[in-house]
Amino acid sequence: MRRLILVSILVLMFSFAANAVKLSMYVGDEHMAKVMKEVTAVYVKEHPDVEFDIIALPYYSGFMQKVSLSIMSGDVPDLIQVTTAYAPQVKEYLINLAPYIEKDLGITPKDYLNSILDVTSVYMTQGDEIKLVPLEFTITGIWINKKMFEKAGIKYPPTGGRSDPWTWEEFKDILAKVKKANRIPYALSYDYSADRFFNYLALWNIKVLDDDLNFVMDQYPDAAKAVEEFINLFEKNLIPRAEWLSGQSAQQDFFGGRTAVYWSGSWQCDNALDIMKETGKEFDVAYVPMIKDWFGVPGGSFLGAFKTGNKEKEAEAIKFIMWMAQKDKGYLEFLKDGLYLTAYKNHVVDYGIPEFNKWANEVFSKLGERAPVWTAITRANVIWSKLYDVVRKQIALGITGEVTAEEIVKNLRSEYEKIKSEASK
Amino acid sequence: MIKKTFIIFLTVIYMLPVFWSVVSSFKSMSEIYNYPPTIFPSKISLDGYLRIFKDYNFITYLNNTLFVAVIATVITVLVCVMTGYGLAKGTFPGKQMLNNVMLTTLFITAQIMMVPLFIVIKKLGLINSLWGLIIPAIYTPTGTFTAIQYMKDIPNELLESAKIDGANEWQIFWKIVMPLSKPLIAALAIFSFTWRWNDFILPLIVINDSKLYTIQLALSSLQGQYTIPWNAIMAFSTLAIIPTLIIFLLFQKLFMRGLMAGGLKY
Amino acid sequence: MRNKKLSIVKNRFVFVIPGLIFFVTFSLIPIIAVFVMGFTSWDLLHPIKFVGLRNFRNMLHDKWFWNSILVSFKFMGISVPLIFFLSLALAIALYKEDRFSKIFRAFFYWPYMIPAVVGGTMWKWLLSYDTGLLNYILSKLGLEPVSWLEESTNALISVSLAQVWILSGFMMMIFITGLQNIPLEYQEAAVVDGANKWQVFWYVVFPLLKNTNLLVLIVSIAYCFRSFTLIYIMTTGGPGYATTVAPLYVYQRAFTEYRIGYASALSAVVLAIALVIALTVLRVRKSD
Repeated sequence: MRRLILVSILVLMFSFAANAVKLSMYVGDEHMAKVMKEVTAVYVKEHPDVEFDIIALPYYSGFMQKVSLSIMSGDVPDLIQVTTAYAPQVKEYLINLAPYIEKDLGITPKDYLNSILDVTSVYMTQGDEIKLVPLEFTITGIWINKKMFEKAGIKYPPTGGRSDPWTWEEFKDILAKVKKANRIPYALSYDYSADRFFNYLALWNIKVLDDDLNFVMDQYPDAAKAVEEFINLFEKNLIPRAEWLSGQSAQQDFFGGRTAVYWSGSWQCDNALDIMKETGKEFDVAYVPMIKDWFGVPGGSFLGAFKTGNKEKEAEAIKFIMWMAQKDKGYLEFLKDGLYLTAYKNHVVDYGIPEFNKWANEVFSKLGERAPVWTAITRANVIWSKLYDVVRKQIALGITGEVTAEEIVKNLRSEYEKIKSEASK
Repeated sequence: MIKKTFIIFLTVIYMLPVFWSVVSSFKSMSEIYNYPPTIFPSKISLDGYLRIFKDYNFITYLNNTLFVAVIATVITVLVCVMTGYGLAKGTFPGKQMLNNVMLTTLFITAQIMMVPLFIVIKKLGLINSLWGLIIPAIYTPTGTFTAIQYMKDIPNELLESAKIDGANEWQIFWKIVMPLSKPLIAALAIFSFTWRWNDFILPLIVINDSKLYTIQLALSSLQGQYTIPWNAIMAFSTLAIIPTLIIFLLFQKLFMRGLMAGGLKY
Repeated sequence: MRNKKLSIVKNRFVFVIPGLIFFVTFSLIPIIAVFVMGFTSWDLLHPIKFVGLRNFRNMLHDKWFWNSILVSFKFMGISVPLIFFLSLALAIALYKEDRFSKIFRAFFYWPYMIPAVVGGTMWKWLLSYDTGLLNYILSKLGLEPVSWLEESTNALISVSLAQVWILSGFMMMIFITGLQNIPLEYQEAAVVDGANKWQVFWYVVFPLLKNTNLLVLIVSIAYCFRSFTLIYIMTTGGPGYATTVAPLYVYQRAFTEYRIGYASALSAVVLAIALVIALTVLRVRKSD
């Protein structure tokens, strides 16, 4: 009898372990994969009947191909971490989470969406359905090399001696000043990115697409001027040409000390902290300049579950997502492990690192609050994804002098028309 | 002597990037960012190496890639030699056309074939399996073409006289052609191992399970969205080249002087 | 029945069968599929739509596509001759089976053993205008830094040289395989006849390398034509479109714009052009 009980217990344990539901998750960034491994380890402690396989994919050279092929063949993973760039394409294949939010979190989907920053929640919905929950929130901002600014005697907003953002003319002056005072070859590093350029244009109150996804850039009288001013920064050797002509790493230029300013964003924080610790360099974050307005451009990524047809796995995946959707449970763990900014309104997080707390809660949060919703809506679509490479290539051609600013705006219009006509047929 | 100095000079230029990357693999990220660039690390940092062993199952990826590379090489070499022989020394109708058709694939970019190739692999049930990395790669236009050109150099008289001596086609192939093909086999083995070892596209589209990852796939996933850990990537590459190098040195032994009384005077 | 079986052995077709099966399944069928997809509009996620000749009509107006074909030709024009003669020279220097040769062959083959992503990255670093080692050395020597990758012509030359760096060791191995089969007697006879080293090589050895020469030429043309990763990593096709070779252009249409149908049509045209080149080379060689 005792042997029978022992055997049955062993069999039960075995089947219990063998029955551990295995969930696969596609992740597009190596750092994120690491954070997810830590976060899921915490989750598994409370839910030992689940196992996670975190699959990191190369973001720029394979993520979307792999995801597209998976969707096409039906071999989709259970969970996916997807950025604002790719969320629009993937959404329709994901499970509607709204009923579970109602059931497991005890609030209406509407209230849930309201608890999240508007610029983030626009990516999460499809009609009345909620397909994604937020992961990290990112926002653009200006990084500065503190010691270089001190040497040049320049004050910076908001924590460096002045509270108001610089005007555009002041900004251009400061770039020249800090370059001269520190005898560096350039002043500003600027990523070769259409999203980053979008931020610059948006500060002129110039939109590329409107909310209905029509191309409207050429309807603004100062569009060509804005483009030209940007290109001028290269011609005056304020921005290294190589950053936009040969993909030289803007990040490396700034953190290596070749430039004093870096128009980047909140995702550089842990890099900055590491370098500050190791080399004694000092970095800080500043507001973007005010041209006609000033704000950062939002980004980030989300978590969703694919419709796989496997009821058991779908249920477990949704359970995990619900844990991650609570800003005091999984989400908090995630933010702290990854040093990420929160996507929820009125959510102040103590990361335990004073410098990071300052950047997150005093600077980036302000840049994020001011971001108008159209900066998210006009990019959360397939047309912007297709325009992306064209936009930055046109600017690059402008920097080499092969096209004028007016021609750039015209060329963008014709590229848009081509993309639109293909998408509609 | 002039020749030797020239070779050594060229070698320095050739190995400069490699030297640079090995040296970088021992730097910390801050030092990699730094300007002016330092040649040797001011402080040896094992961050890059620790990262790949700590955060990644390097040994698993190594095993997977070895499995694929070795088995694929054995099969590929055999198939290439046979196919090359048949296409060079065959007398069947349509031989020239088949030659040309099989060579067109030399010019196809792998990227665009990815989509239909994926569908074929899926239909054959080879998705998410290491065999899915081996079987689709067996036919290689470069390997086949190399074999064809090599076989063309084998004098027909040799084969004819064997036939007169009463040998059948199989015996001719195994007893005469194969031994004469040692340099070809060595070259094909080296090439095939290199190709399978460095393959990135096939693993990307075939493998869905991180336990089946190959070295190149793992290396490529190190490219993050925001930051690229250069020291880890260089550490990875430095280690990843070792098996290919070993195969190269091993198989060089087979580069014997041409058994057709070959060898140059210089 | 028995006669038929004998004949495929006798004419050696039987040796081709295994390779043929793999070829048809994993090469021929996908290629035909690419041609067919050229008549569709597809983004992988939604159902395929047949659109007839629309892609081909659009292609005629796609000036950057034709530019990419031109860039491909320029790229090959620089790389292929360099690869051919450099690897031949290396093979002649290192074909002997002595210790020195065996070791140094590894150094030249090394770049081919490295995945293209890593090789491209290494050169991108070295050639970076502001932070690269080469310009740093130049500045220390009091010279002006060079725009290796920011200027159209320079960028094209830089990627071509990087391609030579990658392929020459590989081609060297192929040449060595060919060289080792050349009978000693032919050369000895020529020397007896009073020929010097250079003449022995050019008039005796080189012609005997005909099959190997053709192999190296065709394979290096094919590789350079197909080359994608190296250029993508080093310049992403820039500055502007200056180094956007045909495969890179097609890739960007396919995977950053999700226009699989259009990209397939482009590939079909690119393949057709490649075949014309290959057949031309074969014709020229045949007439020798």
